[in-house]
Amino acid sequence: MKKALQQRTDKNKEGVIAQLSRMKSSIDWFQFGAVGLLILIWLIMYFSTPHFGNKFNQINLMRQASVLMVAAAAQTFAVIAGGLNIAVGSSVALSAVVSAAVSLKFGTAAGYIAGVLTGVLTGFLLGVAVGIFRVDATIGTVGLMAVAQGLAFQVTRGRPVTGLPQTYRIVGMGMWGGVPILVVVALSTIILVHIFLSYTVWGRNIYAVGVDEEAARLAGIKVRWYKILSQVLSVSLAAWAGVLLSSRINTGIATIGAGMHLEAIAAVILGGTALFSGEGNVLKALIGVMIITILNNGMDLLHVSHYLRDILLGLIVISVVFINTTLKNR
Amino acid sequence: MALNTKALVDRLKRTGGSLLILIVIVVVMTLIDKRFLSPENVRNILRIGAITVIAVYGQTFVMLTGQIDLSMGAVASLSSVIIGLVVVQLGWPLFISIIFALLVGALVGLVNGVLVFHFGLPSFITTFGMFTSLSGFASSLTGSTPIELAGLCNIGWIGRGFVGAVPIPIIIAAIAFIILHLVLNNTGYGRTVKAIGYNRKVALLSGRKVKLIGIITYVLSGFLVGLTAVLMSSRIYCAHPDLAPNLAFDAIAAAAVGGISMQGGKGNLVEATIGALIIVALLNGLTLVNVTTYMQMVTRGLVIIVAVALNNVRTFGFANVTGISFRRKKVGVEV
Repeated sequence: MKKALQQRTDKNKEGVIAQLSRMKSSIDWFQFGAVGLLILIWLIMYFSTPHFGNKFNQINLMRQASVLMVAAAAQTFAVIAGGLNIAVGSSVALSAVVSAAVSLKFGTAAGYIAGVLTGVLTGFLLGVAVGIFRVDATIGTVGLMAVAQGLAFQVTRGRPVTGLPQTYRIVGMGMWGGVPILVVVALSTIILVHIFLSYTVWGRNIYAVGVDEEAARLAGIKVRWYKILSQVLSVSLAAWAGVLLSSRINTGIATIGAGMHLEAIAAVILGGTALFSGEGNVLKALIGVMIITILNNGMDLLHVSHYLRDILLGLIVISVVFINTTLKNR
Repeated sequence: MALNTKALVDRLKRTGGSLLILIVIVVVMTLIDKRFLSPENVRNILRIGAITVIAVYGQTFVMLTGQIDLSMGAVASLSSVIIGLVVVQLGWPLFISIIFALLVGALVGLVNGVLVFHFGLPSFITTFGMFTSLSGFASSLTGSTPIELAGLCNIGWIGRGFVGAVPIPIIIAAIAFIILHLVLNNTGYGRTVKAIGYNRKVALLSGRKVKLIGIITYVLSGFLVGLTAVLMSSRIYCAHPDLAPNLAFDAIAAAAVGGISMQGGKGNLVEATIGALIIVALLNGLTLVNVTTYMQMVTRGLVIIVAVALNNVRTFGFANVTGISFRRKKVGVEV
């Protein structure tokens, strides 16, 4: 009996490992296409608007990319766990307003901490629902989206939180020897996340749970704990993105994350990650982040209306998923 | 006809829980504020409930196939805007504008359905992308401003009128219920819808036209959202690009509370109806006691999460779902 179980476990372990290594080798031409698209968009923007290429705008671009980078990392966690975090944007909004509001009273550091803590807390509640009560992760985030958005408006009564302490914007707008601090912070976050996911047992186990829950369980992985952990990390990273964003614009606004719901998803899938298969890589998403950011920045400069941008964003997401799915099913 | 008591008891057990929630909400709200059970308010709840429930039926059908439709809010906005544009810009009669609104809903449903069922895209992300695109599109059509319809056509009677003492939306919802209930339970189409959600592979292997049925289901859902949009626009006498941004949330919450399974395959329209009444009664009660719209949003979200969790517990048992057992474990049993 025990031997049979051991064999079954080993077999499942092998399966998981094989699946993981298959993923690693799946750097296909989708990504080359994405890089090509990135360069193409950059060139189009460079030649169609006079201000796009100048130094200030390029620095601005890097700042804008930083926040989305962290948000995309948040999304990546959810995608690896086998779901989708639809609530990234509203988690960003909630932590942005909480962080701003707290910093008004207790100073910058307390504000930042409070912002991240809202993410940890809401993420934990979501994690309990997903890990303990087996709520489908994506459905759970649909609920969280409403909860976080509602709370963000409730905290501020719909008004922007301004008049923040002088120090609040240092992370978002400060420079560090010619490089924006925000970029350094975001990049270090991404690198830490990547190290966590790729080189620690916890990270690998999160992958394993996302690929095949049953196999992971048989391999002796505490599935429920890792499901909770991935949700907590996903929402907390989104909250961290919210703190950074509020620092960049030096305000806390409840509507701040409205566009980021889809942008975070778009960034991840543009990076070539297939949804709902348990794969995902933070570094892959960087290409997607840059594409989305350049598009946004360029369209700002070209005075493209917000409606048109929404229409475009939706279409981009659908077509990328379309390409991804048809490639996979070929 | 022999009464199938076992099936009846089973059904009562399934719907009993959500019915109990509805009763608790009604009792609690009445205790907090007497106005909750006043005839005007009850009529109000029923009327709004009737309008919402039509969209909930759409979501229920989609959820029975194991998919989801997050685009509802935007589809409703677009349909509403189309009514306004056809009446104001083209000057065509109201009747035709309503047909256009329904067609637009069905058309979006067709696109959703083809993407999800024919090309196999994940429904969450597809319909969410659709939501963003169509919201932008609806707003851009009117420059984000509502179109007043009050003086232009007599649209008001659909959403506000009465036949005898019964509001017209309730009659429309009742007709929708009867037709859809019969379709779901007594036709091959309805059975296939459930079969797809229950086990898509088996449905496919047993020769069901999975793709076609799935696409039809999304078209149906879009059409029903169009109908909801017509009723809503009529109730507020205007075509609004931001008509019901939370419609998908409401519909999902209602279906979840009613007990429709998120995995698909399980559920019926009685449950959906009770779920819709629960959501509408809850939101109405919260409005009565001056809870802000923001906190109502929070409530919607919590209801979705808690309802899905409760559903799991109800279906599989607390210990099976959570892995927490309060009984002492038997010693010496090998797994």
